[in-house]
Amino acid sequence: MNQPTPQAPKPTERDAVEDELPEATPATWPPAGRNLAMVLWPSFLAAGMATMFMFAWVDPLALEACALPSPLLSSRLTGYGLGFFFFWGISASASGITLYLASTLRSPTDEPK
Amino acid sequence: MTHANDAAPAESYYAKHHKIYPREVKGRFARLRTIAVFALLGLYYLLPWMNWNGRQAILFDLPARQFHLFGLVMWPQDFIFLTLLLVIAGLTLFFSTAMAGRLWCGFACPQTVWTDVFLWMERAIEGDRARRLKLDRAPWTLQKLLRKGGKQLAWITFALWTGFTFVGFFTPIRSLLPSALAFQLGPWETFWSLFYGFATYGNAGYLREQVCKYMCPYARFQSAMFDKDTLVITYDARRGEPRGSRPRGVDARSRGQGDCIDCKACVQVCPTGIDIREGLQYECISCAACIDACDSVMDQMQSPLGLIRFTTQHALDGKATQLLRPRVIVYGTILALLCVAFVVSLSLRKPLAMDVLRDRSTLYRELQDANGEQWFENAYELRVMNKDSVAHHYLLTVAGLEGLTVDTAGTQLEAGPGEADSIPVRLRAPGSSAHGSRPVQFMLQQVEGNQSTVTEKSRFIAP
Repeated sequence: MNQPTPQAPKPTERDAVEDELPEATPATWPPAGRNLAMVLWPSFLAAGMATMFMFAWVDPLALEACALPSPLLSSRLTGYGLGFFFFWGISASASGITLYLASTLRSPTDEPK
Repeated sequence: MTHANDAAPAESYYAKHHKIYPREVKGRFARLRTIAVFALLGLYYLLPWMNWNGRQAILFDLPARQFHLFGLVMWPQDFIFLTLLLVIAGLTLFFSTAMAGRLWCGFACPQTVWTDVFLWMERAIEGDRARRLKLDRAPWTLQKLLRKGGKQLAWITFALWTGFTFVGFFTPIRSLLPSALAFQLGPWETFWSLFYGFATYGNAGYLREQVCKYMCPYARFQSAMFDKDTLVITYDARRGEPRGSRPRGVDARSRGQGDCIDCKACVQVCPTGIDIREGLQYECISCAACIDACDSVMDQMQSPLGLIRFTTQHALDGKATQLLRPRVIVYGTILALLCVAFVVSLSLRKPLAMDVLRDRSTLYRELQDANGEQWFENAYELRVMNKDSVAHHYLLTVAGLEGLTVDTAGTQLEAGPGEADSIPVRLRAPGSSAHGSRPVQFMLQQVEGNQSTVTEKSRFIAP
């Protein structure tokens, strides 16, 4: 068996394309975007749960009487929608503050400034 | 090969992100995933079009506050069933994770499933991995514009249809389609279909593996459910190392090598861009693409398959894999109990419910009958909910005070299928028995069928 040792699968033109690739292709998602995603997504799930529990027990139409601009809650769909965004806003603020606190916490191993 | 684990700049937690171009892979797990995609998305896109007794089979009718699940009508009062169902779904996820790792991630998660479909469209229009790499680096030409534009058109159309279908679970889809085509959807219907469509487009078209890596909580905590008997995708380092190239059909051991020929096929097919040979990583979504890729290479090399395979840590260490471990037994027992509880409580569910509201405007009314005797009258509003799929008649009786009567005595109340009717009733009690605030009971009995009864409490108020 003295034939040359081929790499398997055989290197093709396609692999050559890839080898030419620069090390860093442009990032599609800057860290700020990831932070945003980390804040928005869990709070989205939490808001979904909160909306479900809230409106399982409370009919948005029952809130119409006590809502300030009462036509706002004149339809249930509006009630659900506004309720969801209300909860999302609240939970996103909490997530955002947690992220901020966690990311600005100086670890004990850091050099004192 | 670019890699996601490059050293991060000091000011950021994150590694530099590189766009990942997963190579297409064929094999038994790829087939399995295709089947999963068709089954799950088939259910998603077709279920709203299914009818049951002349009504959409699955309709979460939020404006009417009723859920229709085939013949069943669920009310807000039945929320416990939804809660139970969610707990059961969560436990099923825990149980399957303990048994077989991240099967959910690799084969059933909407993120994976929709990403697969978006990748298929990308592949069909922009070509395979090498073509896509080339196209992305090429200058803008008409050809590139057409391919990129075509892909966007396919993605957007598909995403819009997905958003529309989502709303179709909440608004009857057969009436939704004509109004969507005429651009006459209600504001919230428009908003939610665009919202869901946009989320699908963004998550499946662009974010892809980053959703799993940066956004998904399950991806982070699933390892807590793992033990050494959990099925995971593993590279058999003992068999594979030291890696290196060799001629086809040559025994690696005779050259002092391991079976891995370092072809990097496993890395190229990975949708999250990791190298499984570096060991179990939380980015791995257990999609088994690397198993298919490695098996096909091992096949070509005439080496035994399974250098990368689904196995357990114990099996890899040459120990026996235990199926029944405490965590499996605990998850399994709780799951089984909850399933039984769900089925039993659903079958015992009363097809009838009632709310009693006191009339808030007047506490009581004072009356006198023909004999000059003093009576007190209280007004209430009953909300009678017929959860059955046929109309029913009901008889109302009251108790709690001597001589208490109800003005609907002897008449039958009626409620259509899935209807909630408000019925004003007045109770009267003689002055001899009514003093202050006393508890009273309303009993509603269905005339037909199993004659189910509900009892609700309220209060009767007199001076």
